[in-house]
Amino acid sequence: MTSPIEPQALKAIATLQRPGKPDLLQRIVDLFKSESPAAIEIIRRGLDADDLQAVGNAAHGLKSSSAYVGARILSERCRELEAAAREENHPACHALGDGVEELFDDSVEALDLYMAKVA
Amino acid sequence: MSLVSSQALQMEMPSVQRERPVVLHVDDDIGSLLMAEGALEEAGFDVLHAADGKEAIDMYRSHEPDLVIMDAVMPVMDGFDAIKGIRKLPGGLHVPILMITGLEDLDSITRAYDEGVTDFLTKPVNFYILPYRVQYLLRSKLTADALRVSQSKLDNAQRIARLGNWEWCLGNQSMSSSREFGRVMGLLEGQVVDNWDEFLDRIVDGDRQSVRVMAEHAVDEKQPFNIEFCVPDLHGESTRRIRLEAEPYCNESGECTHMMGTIQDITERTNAQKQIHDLAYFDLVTGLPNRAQLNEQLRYTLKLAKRNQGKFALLFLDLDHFKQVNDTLGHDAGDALLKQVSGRLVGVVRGGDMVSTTSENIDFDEIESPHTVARLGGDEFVVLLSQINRAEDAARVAERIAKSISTPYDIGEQRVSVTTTIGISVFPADGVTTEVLMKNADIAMYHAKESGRNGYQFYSRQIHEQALARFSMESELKNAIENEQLTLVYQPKVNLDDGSVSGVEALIRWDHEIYGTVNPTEFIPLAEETGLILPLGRWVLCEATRQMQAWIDGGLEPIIIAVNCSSVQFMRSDMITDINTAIAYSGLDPHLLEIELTESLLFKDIELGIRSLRDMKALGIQVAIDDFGTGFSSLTYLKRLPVDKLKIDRSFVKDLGVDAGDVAIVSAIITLSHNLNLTVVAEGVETRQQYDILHGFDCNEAQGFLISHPMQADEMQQWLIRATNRVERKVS
Repeated sequence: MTSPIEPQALKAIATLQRPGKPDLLQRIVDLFKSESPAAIEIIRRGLDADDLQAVGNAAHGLKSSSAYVGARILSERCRELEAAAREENHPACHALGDGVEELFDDSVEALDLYMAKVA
Repeated sequence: MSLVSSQALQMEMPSVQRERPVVLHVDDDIGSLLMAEGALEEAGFDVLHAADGKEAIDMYRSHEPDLVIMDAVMPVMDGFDAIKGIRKLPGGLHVPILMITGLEDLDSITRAYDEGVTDFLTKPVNFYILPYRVQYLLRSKLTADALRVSQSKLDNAQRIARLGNWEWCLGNQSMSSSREFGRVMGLLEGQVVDNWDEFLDRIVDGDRQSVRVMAEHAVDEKQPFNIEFCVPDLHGESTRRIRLEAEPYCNESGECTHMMGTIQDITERTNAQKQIHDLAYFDLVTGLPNRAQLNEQLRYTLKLAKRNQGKFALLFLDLDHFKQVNDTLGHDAGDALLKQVSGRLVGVVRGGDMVSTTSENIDFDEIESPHTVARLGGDEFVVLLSQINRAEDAARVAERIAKSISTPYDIGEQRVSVTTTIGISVFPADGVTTEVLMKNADIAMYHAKESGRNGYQFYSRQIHEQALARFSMESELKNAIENEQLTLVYQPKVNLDDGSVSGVEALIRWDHEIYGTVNPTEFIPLAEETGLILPLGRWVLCEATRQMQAWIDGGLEPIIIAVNCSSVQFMRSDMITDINTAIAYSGLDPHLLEIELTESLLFKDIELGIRSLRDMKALGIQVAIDDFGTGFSSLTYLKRLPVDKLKIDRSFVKDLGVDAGDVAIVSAIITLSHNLNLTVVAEGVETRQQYDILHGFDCNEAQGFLISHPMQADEMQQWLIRATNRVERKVS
């Protein structure tokens, strides 16, 4: 099974680290973990309320932030969801949106493993 | 020089480069901001953050960053509207904006580009590369800034110099040019001239062709060229003077592909130069050329006269008692008088086909007639008559000047009278340098003053007396014609075969109470010069025909009366009308009238001669060629001329029997004449020997002292009666 995280992305972030500054990678990962649940909540509520624009916007943001931390699968799912939301494809939105939280949890688990390893 | 306008200069100033350039990063994703911040700060930038478009505009306004990184999709205000807003802010037009967008979002890329995005990066952004991209954009912005500053400086320099540059592509005739080019050419803002023909169309009609030809020549020769021309100004009210400079540009194979050059508005400069020239060469009070200009003109005239062996005259004059006018009426009145005097002098010189130089006409090449009226200062003037035939021409002008100047002037409320005294020097008789001629004209003027004012005097006494003599003869002749003091004398011609009278020639005589008998060779040229020949000629025709008719009425056999005709009469007056009038008044049979013309006269304008002769022949009049053999007759034309008689010149007749050559010529003329069916008359026959030789050659008629001297009319009548009786006796 493919890993939900691509370590190259995380290595790339580490290269941006400036000496004497707070740990950039840790901050990005922490940000991802703390900000993403709000976006996922918006997606869930949006799907419940049939507000596809809110779903699209939240998916757009999550698409970028997940991509930066190497969460390829989650990012790809968000891209598809954003596209479905823009096309107002309700069935596709529901089908794609339902699995986002699970993919996020997988990603966080893999990120934590990676961070423990590099710490 | 005047200030063009007080408007402040508007131009791009070079931007001050910050030590650490400031980047404004606009993204709603905090992670992105953090990662970019790390990379950018590491690369030497200061980074500002904004979470949406609205915040971005506020940040831009307060911090004026050097570059903006902009996310496309954001809450509150998206990236597109933010860019629109920033572009409208001061300094926002040229700030580089790098947009971060999704790869899939092609429509938004186009939209962003239209809003003025400088460059794009796709997500996920490679933050490692980002600083390099930012660096590159900043560098190109600096280059663009520098270019704008440079362009702006150039525009300003061109505007200040009223100089535009242009390029003409010879391949498709297209033209490109700077902004100032349009202004110099008098184009409206936004109007462009984008091909060569349009450019030429803007040039005034009189100059267009020379610019076209000059440019084509320069292209053919691959040579630079320059030319000046005029274009109508923006309002079309006047023209601006433009100087164009151009150089050809060739490709590697030596083919001329472009002309490049400049145009400059030189109107002000040209006007200033003209003003400087006017100040240096023209008198401020009268507008006449001043001493400096006169000297130049004089040098030029002298050079020309030496080369062409011509004559010219200097008239030096001042106003008699001008000082009194100045003292009593004031300097303003004095100036006003000088102006009026100038006007009259110019008028006199211009009259009689003389044109003066005035300040409107300063270009030496353009002076139509080189006669000059100049003011030396004070009340002194000089008239330069740069081409005269005789000294009398100068005297004539001097008389006209004296007469014109002495007519009273109205100065304000005052009526003022002045007179002038004129001294004349003539080249080459009175000097061959400008200095001597000026000095001698001045001296002549003082001599004239000594002998009473309001007159003129030549420097040379001899010239003066000759001129006076001719003048007085001219007026005497005029009186003589008006008062019919001229008389005609008559000299008979006889037929050589039987001695009978064939006709008489009328000859003019002027017996003057003081001069005595004046020779026609003296007064006929004078009459021709003055035009008096026309009334004189008319009188001779009328008197001669009247006399002949009177003799016929008195019982004499009708014979031919011959009248001489001058070239001036023949070419200028309506001879036929004069002849008709004479015939009508006298009632003489036209066949009895013979007009004698010299051959040189006829050959001056052979076609006109033939036409006039035909008209005379149509009236039935006889025509004789006088003094034959002295001119350069063309035998071809002689055949075409409708004449009846040739009169062999007396010079050939004189040496008949002495000079074998003359015998041959006379014999040849007679043979030729007979072959052309012309009657031949020998003039100046004085001896029996000449008479016999002519008779032997079959010459038809003879005239001369041997037969008779010219006689008064009554004497002639007696002679004719006696001659008729003689012949009748012979016959019977």
